[in-house]
This record gives sequence, structure tokens and C-alpha cells, in this order.
Amino acid sequence: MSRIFNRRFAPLFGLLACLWAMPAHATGEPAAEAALQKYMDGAIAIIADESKPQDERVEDLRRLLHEAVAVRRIGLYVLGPYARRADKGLRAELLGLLEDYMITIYARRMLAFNIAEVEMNIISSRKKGSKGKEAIVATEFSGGDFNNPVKINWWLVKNKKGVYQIFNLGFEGLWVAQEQRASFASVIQRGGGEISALAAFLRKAISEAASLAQEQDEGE
Amino acid sequence: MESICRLYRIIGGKQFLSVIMLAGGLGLLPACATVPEDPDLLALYEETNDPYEPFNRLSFEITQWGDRWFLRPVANVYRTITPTPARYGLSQFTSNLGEPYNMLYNSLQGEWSRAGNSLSRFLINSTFGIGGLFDVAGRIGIQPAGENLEDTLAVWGVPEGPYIFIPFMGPTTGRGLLARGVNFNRAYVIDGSLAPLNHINDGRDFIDNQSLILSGAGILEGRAQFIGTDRQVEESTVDLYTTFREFYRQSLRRGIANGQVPVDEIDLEEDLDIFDEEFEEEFDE
Repeated sequence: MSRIFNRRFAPLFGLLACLWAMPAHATGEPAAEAALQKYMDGAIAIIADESKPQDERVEDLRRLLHEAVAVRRIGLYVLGPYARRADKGLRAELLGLLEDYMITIYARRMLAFNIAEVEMNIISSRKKGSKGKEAIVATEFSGGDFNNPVKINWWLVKNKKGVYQIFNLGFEGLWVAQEQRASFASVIQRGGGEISALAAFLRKAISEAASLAQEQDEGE
Repeated sequence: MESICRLYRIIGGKQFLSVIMLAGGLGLLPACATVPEDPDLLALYEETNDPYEPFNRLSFEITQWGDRWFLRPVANVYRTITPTPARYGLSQFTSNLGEPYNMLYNSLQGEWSRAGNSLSRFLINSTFGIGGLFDVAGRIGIQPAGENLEDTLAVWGVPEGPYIFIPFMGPTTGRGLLARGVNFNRAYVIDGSLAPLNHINDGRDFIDNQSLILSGAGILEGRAQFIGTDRQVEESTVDLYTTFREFYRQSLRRGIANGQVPVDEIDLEEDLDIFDEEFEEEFDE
């Protein structure tokens, strides 16, 4: 099976996880829990619907991504100080590439994830910060491809409409957005400080992943 | 150079390396990265805290080479031929040997409850757990409370210092180097760092004893546990060196906070306000 579709990777870096019945957990920040539940249900429905071609499901996940994930905010966060140094056009290009990168790298792996036997439990939720814009929801996944129970924390932020969206994902206490921020800064620094180096890198990564996925589809 | 050789002859090999580590911990290693002048980039540079990045990258590549061509294949064989119960027993045994140290360091941090846990675990697992082969204490709800000298120094207020990757010894910080120098007699020479992922764990060291044989077995067990995950991380990362550095650092801070997820130190609210103001026209999130 192609590396892209390695099922065991999905639990590690998937932004949206799948299947179980989440018990109501009225502690901390119920609105954040409810939002996360809704996004998970949506992801489950897409991933479980094997009657649709993979490309259609990827596009469905892209639409869900826009709803569930604070894509632009994540993009601006991981770009760090380089977000302001880029002009409007380059910034728009980078954010678009980041979205494609997320879809190409993560969504396809999620589609290969064995969701049928996974269970997720909400352990707790709490507000973060003083302005009521952020929340942390702690969950635990077990079953399916999880050999041992895995703790995944979700950092949600409110958008302008006051709706919680996923901003960051913490796998056993290791937060992905911080790692991505450092990695992208590293790409730019190794590219001589040119922000366009990151754009070139993302285009290449997306292209390679898409080619690999196409080979896999043709092979099947 | 003559002075260094004279020092080596006087104090002997083991202590000499300790001195080198301590000296490194005092920041006497030459800086290799270029400090940016731009204020925003300088802030990022300081946030990254990796002034020896060129040296660290080279060390990382050397270590990865050693892992790819030696440790991983050997660990794979070990994983294949060693029955799971035996692997579990070895893992538990080496962890149990570290419990007295956990108790010591928890005590030094004033974490009396956790120190009590470590003592209880050691006593229960050493007796009812047949010399530490079985985690009986864990089954009755006494969970591990791993600690080490570096965490203790952090609690005492010693700053983290720069990120340093030592060939075949793995990642550390200035503070960690100081801790290793003090703890050198605890067989830190090779501590499984050929597999950097070994260092992103729950704070337990797989090598907590002075037996090279047990150390070697512990290294293999530690490496074997990450076979599979290592490939997935490598395939998905933008820059493996940076990914590893960041996850190591996060793991370090999590260990210092006794497993609590340290996200509150990241103040996003100001950034969110800035995002809304500066980029309002560009997106409607």
C-alpha cells in the first residue's frame, strides 16, 4: 500500500478523527465540545461513505476543512513573522498552498483510516485565555488502528461569527501547529530567507503527494 | 590543545568528558548560526533557540545514518525474535530500576506525592512484580512519576539554554548538558539516541542503570517501540530535523510540567486580534 495511504499514520497527524459515540460531557466548554462533535460526525460520514469515488470524498473533506478548521488562522500562525513580510499576493498564494498541503497530505490518509472500530471519549474541556476565544478539548481514542489508547487534545478558536474551529492538534501532548511553524520557518531560512522558497517547497510536496496518490489509484 | 591534554591526563577519561559536558552547558560552544537583525526574525530566532543549528543538523544527520544502517536493523531483528512478554518484562525491569531516581528527583522538586508514587512503585513492583518485571503498581492505580535531573534544574529556575544535538547521544539543551555532565556515571554514553524518537516519550529513560548489557537491551527495546512510527513521521514531515527538535522541546516542557500540556504559555489572543485587524479584508474567518 502506498505510503500516502498508510493507515497507521492517520491517528498520528489527522486533523479530524473518526467514529465513535461521544458521550455528552457537560464540563468546561460545552460549545467547543459540541463543535468538535459536529465536525467529527461530518468527517465520519465522509470517510465511511465508500460508495463515492475517492476524489469526491477528498473534495467533501476540503469543504469540511473550511468549516471545521481555522485554515487561514493556522496559515498565518505557522507562517509566523513571514506572514507580514509577504505581500498580499504571495500571502494568498501561501495560504492556498497550505490548504492544498493539508488536504493532499492529511485528508487522503484519513480516508484510509480504519474508522469502524474506533472509539473516542471526551475527557474534559476548558476555556483558554481571558477573552473567551479559545478552548482546549481533551479526548482519548482507542480501538481500530490505535494499538494503545491515545490522548489527543484539540485547541479550538472562535471565528468572527463566534463559531469554534479547530486551530491546533496535540498528540500525546505534542502540538502540531508549533512544529509546523518551526518547520516552515526552517524552509524559508534554508532558502536564504526568501518566503518564495516555502511556496516552492509546498508546490513540490503537493505535486509529489498527488502523483503518488494517482499511482495508487491506478494501481488499484 | 596542550592544556586540554594535560587536563585529560590529570582527571581521567570519564571525568574529562564530564568536564567537557559541563563546559558545553556553560555555553562555551562556538555559535554557528547567524543572528538576524530584523526584529520579527530575531524574535523567531530567539523563540527557536537553536544558535548551533549547522552543527546540530550535521550531528543529526550523522546520528540518523547510524540509526538507519545499524540500530534500526538490529532493533528490528530484536523485535522479531524477542517474544512480546520478554520485551514487556525488559521494559518494565529497566523502568523499575529508575524509580529510586524518580523518587529522588521528585523529592528535590518538592513533589512529595509523586515521590511517594515512585517509592511505592519501586517497592511493589520489586516484590510483587518479581523484580520489576511486571507493573503491578500501575495496575492498582499508582502511575509512573518520571523525573530526571534536567527537569529538576528547570524547576529550580535554571534556564533551558540552547538546543544541542550531540552525535550518537541525541538532543539536549544547555541545561540538559549540565545535567548529563553531573550524571555521567549513569551510563549516558549511549542512551538510545541513535533513534531520536526515543527522546520524545513520557519522560522515562530507558537507560537508568549502570550495566552496559542492560543498557544495550534497553536501547534496543526503546528503538523497537518506534519502528513503524518513525517511517510515518519521516514521510510526513516538512523538515525532519526541525520536527524532531520541536517535538523534543515540547516533550521536555511537558515533562517539566509533569505531563500537563503546556499550551497556556502560548498567548494566541494577541495574534488573533492582529489577524482580525491586519488581514480582515483577506479572509472572513
